[in-house]
Amino acid sequence: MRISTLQSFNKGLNSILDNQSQVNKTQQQVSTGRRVLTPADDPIAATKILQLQQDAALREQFGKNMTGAKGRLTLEETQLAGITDNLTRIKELTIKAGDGSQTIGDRQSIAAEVRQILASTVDLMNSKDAGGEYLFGGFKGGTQPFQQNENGRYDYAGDEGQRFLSIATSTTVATGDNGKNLFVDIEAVDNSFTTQTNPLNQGEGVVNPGFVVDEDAYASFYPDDLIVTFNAESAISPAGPNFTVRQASDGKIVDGLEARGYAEGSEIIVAGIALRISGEVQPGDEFLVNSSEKQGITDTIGRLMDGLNNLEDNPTDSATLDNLLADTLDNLAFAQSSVSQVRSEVGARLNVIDNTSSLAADIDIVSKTVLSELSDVDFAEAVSRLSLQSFLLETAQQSYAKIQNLSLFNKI
Amino acid sequence: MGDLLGIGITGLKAQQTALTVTGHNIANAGTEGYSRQTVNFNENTPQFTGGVWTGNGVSVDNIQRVYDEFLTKQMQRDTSTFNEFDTLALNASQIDSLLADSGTGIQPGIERMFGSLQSVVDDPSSLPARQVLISEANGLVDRFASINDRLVDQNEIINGQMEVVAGEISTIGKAIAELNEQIQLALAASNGSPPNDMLDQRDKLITDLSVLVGVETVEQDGSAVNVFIGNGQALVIGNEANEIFADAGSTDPSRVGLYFRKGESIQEVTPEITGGQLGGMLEFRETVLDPTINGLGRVAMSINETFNEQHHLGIDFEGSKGGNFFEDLNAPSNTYSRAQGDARNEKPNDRLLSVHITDTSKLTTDNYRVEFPGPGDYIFKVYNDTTGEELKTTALTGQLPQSLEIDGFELRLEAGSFQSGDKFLLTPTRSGASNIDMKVTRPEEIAIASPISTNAAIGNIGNGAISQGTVYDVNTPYLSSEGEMDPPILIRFTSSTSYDVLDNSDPGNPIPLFPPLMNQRYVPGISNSLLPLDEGKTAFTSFGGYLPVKSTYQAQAPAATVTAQNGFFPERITINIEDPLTGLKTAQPLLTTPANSSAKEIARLLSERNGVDASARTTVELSDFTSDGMPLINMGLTLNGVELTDTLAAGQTKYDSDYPAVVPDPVTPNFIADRINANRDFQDLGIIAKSDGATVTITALNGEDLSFDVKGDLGDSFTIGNGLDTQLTQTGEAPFKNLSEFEGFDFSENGPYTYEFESPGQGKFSIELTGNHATGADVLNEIQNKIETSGMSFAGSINVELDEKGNISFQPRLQVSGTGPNGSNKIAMGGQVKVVLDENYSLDIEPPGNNLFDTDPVGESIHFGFEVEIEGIVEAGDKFNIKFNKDGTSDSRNGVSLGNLQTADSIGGNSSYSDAYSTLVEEVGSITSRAKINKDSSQVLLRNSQDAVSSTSGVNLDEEAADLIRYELAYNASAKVIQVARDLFDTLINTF
Repeated sequence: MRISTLQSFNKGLNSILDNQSQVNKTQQQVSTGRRVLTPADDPIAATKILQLQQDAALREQFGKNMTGAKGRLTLEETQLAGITDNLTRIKELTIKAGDGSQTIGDRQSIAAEVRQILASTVDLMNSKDAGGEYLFGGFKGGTQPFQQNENGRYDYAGDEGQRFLSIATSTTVATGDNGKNLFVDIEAVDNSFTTQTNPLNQGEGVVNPGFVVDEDAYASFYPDDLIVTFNAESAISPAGPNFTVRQASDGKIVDGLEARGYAEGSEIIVAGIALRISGEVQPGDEFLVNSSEKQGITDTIGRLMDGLNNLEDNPTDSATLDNLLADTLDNLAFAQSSVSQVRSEVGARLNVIDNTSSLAADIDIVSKTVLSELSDVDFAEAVSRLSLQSFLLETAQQSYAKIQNLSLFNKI
Repeated sequence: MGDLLGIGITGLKAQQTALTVTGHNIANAGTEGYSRQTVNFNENTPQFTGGVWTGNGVSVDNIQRVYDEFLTKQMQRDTSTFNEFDTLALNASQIDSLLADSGTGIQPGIERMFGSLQSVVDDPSSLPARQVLISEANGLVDRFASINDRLVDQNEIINGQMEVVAGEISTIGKAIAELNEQIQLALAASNGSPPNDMLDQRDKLITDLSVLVGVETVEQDGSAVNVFIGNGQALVIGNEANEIFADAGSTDPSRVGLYFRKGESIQEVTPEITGGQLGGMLEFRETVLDPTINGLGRVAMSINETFNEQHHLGIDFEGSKGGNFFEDLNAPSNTYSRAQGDARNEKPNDRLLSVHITDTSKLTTDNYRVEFPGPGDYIFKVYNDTTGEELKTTALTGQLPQSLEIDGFELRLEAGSFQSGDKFLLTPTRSGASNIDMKVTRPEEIAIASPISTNAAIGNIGNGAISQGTVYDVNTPYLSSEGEMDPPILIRFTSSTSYDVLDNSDPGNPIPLFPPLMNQRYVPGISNSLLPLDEGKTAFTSFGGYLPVKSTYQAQAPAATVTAQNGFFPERITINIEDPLTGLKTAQPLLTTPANSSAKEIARLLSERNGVDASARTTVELSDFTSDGMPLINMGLTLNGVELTDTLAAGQTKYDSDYPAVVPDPVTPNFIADRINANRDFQDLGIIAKSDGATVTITALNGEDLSFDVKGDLGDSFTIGNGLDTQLTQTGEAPFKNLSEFEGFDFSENGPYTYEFESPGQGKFSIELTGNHATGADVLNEIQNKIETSGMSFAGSINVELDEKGNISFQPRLQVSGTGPNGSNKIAMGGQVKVVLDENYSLDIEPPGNNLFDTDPVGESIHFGFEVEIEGIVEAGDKFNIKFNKDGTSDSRNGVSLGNLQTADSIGGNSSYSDAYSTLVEEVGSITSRAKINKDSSQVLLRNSQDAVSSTSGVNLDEEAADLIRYELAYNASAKVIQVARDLFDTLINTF
């Protein structure tokens, strides 16, 4: 074939340029360690790489979530262990108080120790996590869940929220438990109740949690609820704040408590329970008493303390005391079982986290391998390719120089 | 002998020419487009002398270029193909690396935003964590913006390059036309001898043109070459050249189009242009740039909408409903920018279209086109502009705005004189990536918590557990108010397998909802979903009790008994069913309700029909009880035939034993409420009362009329209203402090203060509050006066109320008083009917202007907007509360739902954000990769054809060196011939 001079120049040049660009690309692959430099190099692998990278980022995030959840659950577990220990100690003290040789003086000193343990238990129930949020307040992490009211009792101010964290694409784990489930909503030997202020009230009056003063009377009333309604001031003479107590089920007046004068902070005793309404009330205001078969830990301990402090060394009081101590032991057992049930749940959650975490680690290894196969360059292959290409480039350059020297003009 | 000299000279001249040509070849060895030339010698005509033919030397026949037309054309075609792919690959690879770069790509932005969201979920009360989320979301927005900017820049660059290239094409076209002319002249002058170098130049120009655009050439008369581009547009005809120029595209002004100008006529040729750099640019724009901009826009829009939607379902750190996280997708400026009219539409340019995104999961990355093909100005068609598929053919209804649902967006024809021939381009997703922007600025505004909270009453005997609840719609009446659930819900079990859902606004007295949801079935052992789901049912209510202008006088017996009527007009009600597929409506037989029917009766009649479930409830409010203080006749009040103000002896059975026995003077709301609640008949009938001390609200749960008979002195009175408050909404400036009934207000400061309200059946009214009012009572008076003079018709007087937040509401109240010793006044109030319609049912009510229903009532969904589940064993009396999640600062349920969006299939039903983005990256990658392969292969073809041309026409210097020697030798020999001739001549002369 006839070759024009320009053509032979161009051919030589083109082969040098082609070789150069190949060497450049291989060099780039070797220096970055990546086989796929832009998606165009391998569009299908590029998509897979993006997906794998996203999965990896998700797993990393889930890993962080697991660390967070683990931290919080471990903290919860520690606090619950502390509470269980405290309850055990109170149990021992209760049994000790039941020893017939104890006098009221002895019991009062036991009560003093119970008070200390109660304070420490409440501290544990009000513990905060690393972020300064209350552990056992449900969604109300900024509100101290157990607050002592003016009557010395503890009210639960949190809610029943439970937080979850995602630890895998379709797995979430609860990272806490609310104080109501754990410490308030505990089965009791005796019937109990809770009190509530009607949110529609116009006045500022509040009601305390109250307590049962006459088990039998309350037992016969149970499980009905009570409503304390304030009437128009003119209902009594002289006119003044006054209230009526009705049964919630049918509106019947209870214990004849109709249009009773109200003195701020005075105790109302009805159906075997005592409660106290304080603050300014308006006609039409209502306070609700809901029966319950449950009793919170602090109430159990508080009632024990009251008994230890106040029950005298006489046969009647001794009988009440025996009764109280027996009930307290049962209630403490219920409380402990409530706490240990949650503790075992916490343990189970920690197990789930561990399992998920090790599974994630396995998947991570596999997907890293796949990712590496897809995106990483095979160095042995690439380096040998690079040396071959450089060799070809050199050859092209040398042959170019040689061939261009061949001209008839050099001979004439 | 003379001949020999002549012959020598011809040889000398011929070889000299040949040497010149060889020299010319050598000189042009490196000239691009040069074809080597060869000399063709010819023997001169011989002479017949002396009986023989003697040769007469040589002459140059012609100088020919070595040229193969087919090879050259092949090379020109290959040039145009190579340049098309080269331009495409060059531009595409820029986008390719832009999208996948970890520094600029979207993927890392999405990951970082959701990563920071997870930190917020982990610690919802941490404001710094929320701030990081805002920064990362901003980062994502910036990434979208910067990639989009780069893409828009790329479009601008393409626009600029197209202008330059179009100019070059026109210039080359002109040069070819001029060469055509010169070649014609040269051929004529040289008697057909080809002007080789000019021909080469012309071929070179055509090759240059092939670099820019694909061309077709046709030789004419053996001299001129005609050049065509695109779909046969003649760039050059003989010595005439036409022009091609670039200008804003007629369908899409932001994309430059190419126009062909021939004399006066201008034609857009953009779609016809192929090949060359220009073809590459157009293909890049069509297959890479626009789909990438749209695809990126779609991902941005999907994030924008789905994130906003989920964000709306939560409440923020301060307990307010979640607003938009990103700016609204359908802000007016966005919707108008998504539709543009064709520049060629008939003037005036008054058509206004807008595109509203309704469902990002259905969006495609395509552009759409609306055309009015004619005949007539009514029919229009919608096409997918990218695929060309015809989607819809519709006619204008004559009423604008008219809207149309297409692939996840709603096209609205807003205004203008649409005409046949009109065209519009719709680009729903193009601006998505540039329009996404942050709305939330303060960390507190991020809605991480859920608005509902559930709990089990502590007194529950069973072990039933209630779920935390899932919110799916916050626009239901339950969740539409800020900071509360209205009403809070109580679920009360009436047995271990049944429950009631109650309105718990008053925990002392939970009442049925309206419509009631009672005696529902509960299955122990499985998870029970307790509330109705969204099944497409809608509900609307009637206006409520009608307040007459005055009460009805009943003269003392023996006068005939008159009955107070509720005053409801007769109605004709048509129930329509719409076929969801065809849109065809069929009507059930007409239903008529007689005048003065009770709400209970109307509800019963309606409920007999298919697809309708109506319930009724009657409410009245009594207040302002006054007594003239005279002990003559105290107020006597009878409700539905039951006297409420009687004094009974002990042992009565009319009331429960705890009833208030003493009738106070004046009568008090508490007293009325207690009497009603204690009455055994009312307990059976479901008539209940509630008093807040100032107003007693009496409710008949079954919708019976409530009629009162009032005795007493003229000064013994009370006011009555239907219990339905009308809210005023602010239309102008907000008051500089909350209005209060305890404080004066100066409306002349910072005003005007304008409000509007809607009166049932009467439409909207507006008022303006003015003047300086010293006390709260004056403020109330001012509002009352303005409402009373607003033009609304009402009975009695307007009772205005201001709540703690300064919201204004009012209710007309009619004063009812005693009539003195003889007779009594009677008044009856009807109730409110709530109509629940199944999906696709609607009502038409006649006559217009009635006092019961709107003529064309629009229903609202009846679902709660949230779902809760209870499982476990429950006992009668167990209660569960669903209420607003107050102070839920540690709740991150909505945050978890937001986080789930990262992997949810939000786009096209099968792709997450990242999937859609990586698909986009893959597509651009594939196109780039294909373009590179095509570029490489077309380069090989081009080199082959260049080789072929070069091989034929190129100069080989060795060959020329040989020629040089050859012609030099021949020249020397010819010179020798002349010398020999001279020697012969000299010899001859010298003999003389």
